[in-house]
Amino acid sequence: MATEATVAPDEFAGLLGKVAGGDRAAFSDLYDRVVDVVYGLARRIVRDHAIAAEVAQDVMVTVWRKAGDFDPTRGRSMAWIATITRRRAIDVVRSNQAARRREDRQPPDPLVSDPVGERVGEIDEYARVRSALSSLTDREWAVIRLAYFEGLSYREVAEKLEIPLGTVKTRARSGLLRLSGTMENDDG
Amino acid sequence: MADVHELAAFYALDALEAPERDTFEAHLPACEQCRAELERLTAGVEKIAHSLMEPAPPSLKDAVMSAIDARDTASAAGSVKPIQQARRRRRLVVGVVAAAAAFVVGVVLTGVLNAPLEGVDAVIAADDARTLERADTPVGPIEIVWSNERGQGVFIGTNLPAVDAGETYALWVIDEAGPAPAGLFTPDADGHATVLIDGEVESGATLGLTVEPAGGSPNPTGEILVAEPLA
Repeated sequence: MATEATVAPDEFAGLLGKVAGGDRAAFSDLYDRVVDVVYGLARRIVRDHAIAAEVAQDVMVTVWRKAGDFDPTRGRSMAWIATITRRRAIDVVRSNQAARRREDRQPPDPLVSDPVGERVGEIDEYARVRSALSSLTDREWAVIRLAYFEGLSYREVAEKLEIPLGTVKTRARSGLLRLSGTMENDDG
Repeated sequence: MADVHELAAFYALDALEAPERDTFEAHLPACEQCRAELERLTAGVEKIAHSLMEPAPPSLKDAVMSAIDARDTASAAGSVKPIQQARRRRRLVVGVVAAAAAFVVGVVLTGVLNAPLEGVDAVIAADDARTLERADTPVGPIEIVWSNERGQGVFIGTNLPAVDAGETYALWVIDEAGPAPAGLFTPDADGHATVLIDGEVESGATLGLTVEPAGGSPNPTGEILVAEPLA
């Protein structure tokens, strides 16, 4: 039954293996296939186009250097690249926030003066994302948003949403499985 | 949340603190069930990322390709720390950074490209970072950024005279115990250098700068060109 549902083969895992071996052509191919995802994810977090481009560049160079660290037993390749991106982008936002807190004479900058954690309303207006992810319930989305886009640990998510850790887990899991199209019947 | 099997969803979302992440990663090779679960969960993460896809600037690819070329040349030049090669390597890194700079608008970003820059940015971004500027030193204008909280500082030279081959600039942290080596560097072709001061430093110490033979010296042998308080 539904538990048999599987996901498509990991399309970039093989390419990453070649990149790890120093294959520039493979890297060029990988770049073409993932850069728009990397850039889009970075921009979703840092907002500014130029900063997103800088983050995307850093990420792609990191992928070239660290391809050998990719371990398929730890999840899928695009998720690995996405997580590098999202960490990097969140670091940039946090570091800018810290920098700007020092320079309180600076006029407000939307990137910084509205900290990531307070953009909830704006994020929910992100129509494109919401429609692509529309199978998620609001509760699942809230957990995924706080953890993945705002960089909170699951404990912090539980605190922020004032729900038990077990509930955070259930929502994170059911949301991700729903998106992957492998939701089991008994999870619904 | 003690059960390690329960951590897969949080691992997929990168929402574990480091110790739990390590625990889960150590558990994975032995647990087929968690690996299968993770495959499905990270397919969900991929879906999120794909939903955000947006065309990257076309010029980005050239910048990335030249950055990886520069890195390759740099690592071919030797991955240990031969100070004679440092200048050459630095120039390459500067090229990478310059390429990156085309995309930066007034924001200094951490350099994944150049690991030490991460420490530099950590200091510069620290909440309590203070900058001391000296326009007129024997080595031109300098800045020292100091974070008391971190016990770390950064030395920035903007128009440093080149040093001869076989020589290097050397930073020193001077306290009651005397001078301690705090890092060697050579400026780039434009006389720029941004250097994390090595080691933990107590507030109230003095930062010194000298020129030393390549490889450094245990104690300053050159003239003290800069001596400024770290506070």
